[in-house]
Amino acid sequence: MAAAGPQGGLRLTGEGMNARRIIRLSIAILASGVSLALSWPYWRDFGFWPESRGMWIGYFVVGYVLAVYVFYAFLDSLGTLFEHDELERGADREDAP
Amino acid sequence: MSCVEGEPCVEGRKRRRAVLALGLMAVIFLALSAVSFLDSRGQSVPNTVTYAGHEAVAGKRVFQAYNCMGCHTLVGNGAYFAPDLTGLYDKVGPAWLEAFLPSAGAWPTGAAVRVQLADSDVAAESGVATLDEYLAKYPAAAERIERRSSHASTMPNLPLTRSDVRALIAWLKYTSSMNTEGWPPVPRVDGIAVRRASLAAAASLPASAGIAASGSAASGSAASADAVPSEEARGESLARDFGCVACHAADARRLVGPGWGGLYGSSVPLADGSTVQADEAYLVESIRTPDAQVVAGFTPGSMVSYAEILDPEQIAAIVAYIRSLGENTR
Amino acid sequence: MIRIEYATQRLSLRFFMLMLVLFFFQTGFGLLLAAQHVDPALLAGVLNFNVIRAEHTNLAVLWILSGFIGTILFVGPLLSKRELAAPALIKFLFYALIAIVLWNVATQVLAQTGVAGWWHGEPLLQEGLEYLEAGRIADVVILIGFAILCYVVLRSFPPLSKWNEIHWGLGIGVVALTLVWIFGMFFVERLDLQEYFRWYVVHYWVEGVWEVIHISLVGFLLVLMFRADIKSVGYAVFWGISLVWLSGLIGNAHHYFWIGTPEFWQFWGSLFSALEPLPLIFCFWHIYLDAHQDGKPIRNMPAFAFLLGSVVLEQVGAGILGFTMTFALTNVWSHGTWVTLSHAHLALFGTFGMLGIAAAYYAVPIMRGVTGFDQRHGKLAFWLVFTSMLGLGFAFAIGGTVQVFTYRTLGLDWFGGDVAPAMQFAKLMAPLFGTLFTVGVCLLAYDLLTLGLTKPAPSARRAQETAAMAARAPSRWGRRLTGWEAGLWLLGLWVAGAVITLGLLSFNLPFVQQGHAALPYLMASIGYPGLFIVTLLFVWRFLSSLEARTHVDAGLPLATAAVAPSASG
Repeated sequence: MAAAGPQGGLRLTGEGMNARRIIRLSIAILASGVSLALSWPYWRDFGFWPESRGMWIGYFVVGYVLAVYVFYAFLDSLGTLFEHDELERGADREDAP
Repeated sequence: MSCVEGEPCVEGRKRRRAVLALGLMAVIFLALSAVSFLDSRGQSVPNTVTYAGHEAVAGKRVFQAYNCMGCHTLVGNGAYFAPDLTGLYDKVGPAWLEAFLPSAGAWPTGAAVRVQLADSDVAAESGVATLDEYLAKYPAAAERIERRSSHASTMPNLPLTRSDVRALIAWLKYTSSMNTEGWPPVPRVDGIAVRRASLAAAASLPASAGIAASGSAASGSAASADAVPSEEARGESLARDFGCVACHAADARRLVGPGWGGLYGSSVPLADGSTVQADEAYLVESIRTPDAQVVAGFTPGSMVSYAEILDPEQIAAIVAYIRSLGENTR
Repeated sequence: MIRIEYATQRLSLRFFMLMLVLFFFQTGFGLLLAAQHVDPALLAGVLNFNVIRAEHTNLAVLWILSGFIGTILFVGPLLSKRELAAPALIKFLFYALIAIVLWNVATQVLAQTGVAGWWHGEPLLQEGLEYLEAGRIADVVILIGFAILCYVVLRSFPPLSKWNEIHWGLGIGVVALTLVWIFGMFFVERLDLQEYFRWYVVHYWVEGVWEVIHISLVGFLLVLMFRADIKSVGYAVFWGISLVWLSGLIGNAHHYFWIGTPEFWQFWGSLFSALEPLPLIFCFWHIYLDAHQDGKPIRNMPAFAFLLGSVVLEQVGAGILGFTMTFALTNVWSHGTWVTLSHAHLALFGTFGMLGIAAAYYAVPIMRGVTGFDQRHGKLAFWLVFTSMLGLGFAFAIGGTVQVFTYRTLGLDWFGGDVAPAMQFAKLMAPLFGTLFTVGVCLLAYDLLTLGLTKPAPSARRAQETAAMAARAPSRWGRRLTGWEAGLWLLGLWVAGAVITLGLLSFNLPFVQQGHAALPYLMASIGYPGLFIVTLLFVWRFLSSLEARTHVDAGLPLATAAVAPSASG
């Protein structure tokens, strides 16, 4: 969870930014995969509408993409939370005599 | 704050994207909701279900008025103090429920269920005529009678009227017919056998001395009951076995029928305006053909005829029991 | 802040006091329920289980709302930088709340005789639906009460263009609180449709609206306690709320697995409620970072302890325990058993109840003009209610695991003869921890009701105490809690959660279904105690690290001023 910890500097080059984005995206894809695996209706008959497998594939795809987005947004905002902390700490230190 | 100097600020775009995703989710949620209640799905609906002329929706009102969900669960929601009721109707059948609900404080006996089957409506809804057929068709009712019928239940007696009872059964008939998508899971094993095996294993341990002691105490009380019972005592056990006490209290309270306390010898106002003395002849007549002289304030057809179920000797014993509950004190 | 800045902030005091009284009675009803679980004959026919349960859940909702209203009224003027609008309406709201509590307590008893007060098809007096037991008359009055709250909040706030994220959170929160309530105000014939709309109220309240209000209030209390920067708190509030809704909107579908709605909900509900812990993890880091922003001592330890308890129990009760049972694969077993009680108690009392108490501990001394108060009662009460609530969660979880096996796997449905005897051990633990909890509640209520009234603050003794504490060198247990260590604790909690999840999943295994309980029992007896012990140790460690801060400026009064809002804009 603390993958995007306070270690990351604030003034990142475009390259560092990209690396971080790729890491976060990978975590999001992996975590969503686990969630999807836990949510897969294994023992069921894919009912209502049973005749429409296409609809179910649609659910899985849309659900997965949305889950990846939510995970990514979470990691992104958590990262910023730690950046804010760093900034304020820095500001406090500057304020101090 | 979330924007660092010297970099393009993307926070606004991120926030708009979040709101957009949220909107998309709302659309998905509402679309799924809209197709959840389509007729084409074939889900059972309450306004098409009736039981013995009572509507399931009326039963829902009774169910809510007594806050049944405050102890039981229905489709798994509610309290966890008492069993889930969703599929109960299909498991135990209507006659068992008819016997249980009016006096829920005790589990019904086989005789009490047989009495209910004598009602043509109940027999028609059950789809069988005799108790043996009934128990074969509804094994959960057979299991309940076998294991529980001498025990008190933990459910309080509720002042349900006869139409309340039938409406409730209509409601449970509806919930039984619902497709709940694989819940509750069907047990793969005979639980009672597993439980017995584990209890037997526990009984071989010294820690089970308490159970053995209570077992011997129970057999002791059974032995004392073997001593020739008085007629009143026999009547009392008959009244319990045949489910009379489901509707008739031992005091003057009205459950479904009139209370028995102080009934013997009192004068009873009838529905036709006349008055009758509640003597032995009247009580016997009321047990054999209940609708002949209906007491004021009660509806005809509430009670089945016991003429074919009890022999004259048994009826006499029950009347003796009623007499023992106090004479003419009203 | 030592004195209140706006006179109308004082209006919050009565709501906090009412909250404590209702909390006390709610706890009493809960203790009765636990006793009836042990002996079902207790009070049978006099006060039936279903009536007591309705009182217990309804009072829970009402005291939490009372705490919310109190907190909103206290922070409202600070957020608006002006007095609250319509103080007369707020006073009316208070008396209306008391009236509706008494009315509702009285009408619930009618369920014993089956009186619902049907009128044009609507139950006027009580309606026997879990959590929404109140009848239509009470429903309408409560709706009016919410409308008054909306009016007061929105009229007091500055113009829309000057709103920051906390304004938005609270504004949306109170409006949605009102709107969502309407879905519970109709008699619905179909069971599936009735349950569908019932969860609109229950789920969207708890996991939507209350959570939004919770995040906003926690954020602002952090601003007040630690003088955290309002803009970074605003950022956290925005993303906290967004994540709540991004996961919880479709996450509501976890209530639509088995109520007769189609199977596709099982997929949607499982997937999105797997995401529901994310905002809670976010909130966890938020409070960690703000509490460790400055190294200054905590002046009001009980207030912070309850605030921390709120966020941690939210993580454990709502986040982890909710996660374990939210997949259709695990929920098919846990649904309708005591397993869910464990989650419900920790999540509802923990998250929302403790927030109200935290706000009361923060606000009451200020409103009574107490500069320093004996905090030992408050700290002891915190540990009592916190520990015993974890104990209750343990009792429910273990009892629930036994119940799942007996009731679902073996299919034994005789509660009096099979299920309850199997759960006896857990059923005995519940009143035990319940009694301990009640002691904590009494202490808490006594402390807050009398704070600053009975005796002048023994400032001399306090000074001695702080001096003694400053002299004591921080032990290893009291050293600074680093981000890495907090992360490890969080990881520990989630490992225990994973064990519990696997334990519930194991009910799907064929050999467990053949009647062998060893594996799920083993997982539960590792997972649940593990989770609760790690929780306990973590909160202890967190609070110790704050207690041990050197009291360099102990001479100063409680948190100096609510200057932070002026930094907004």
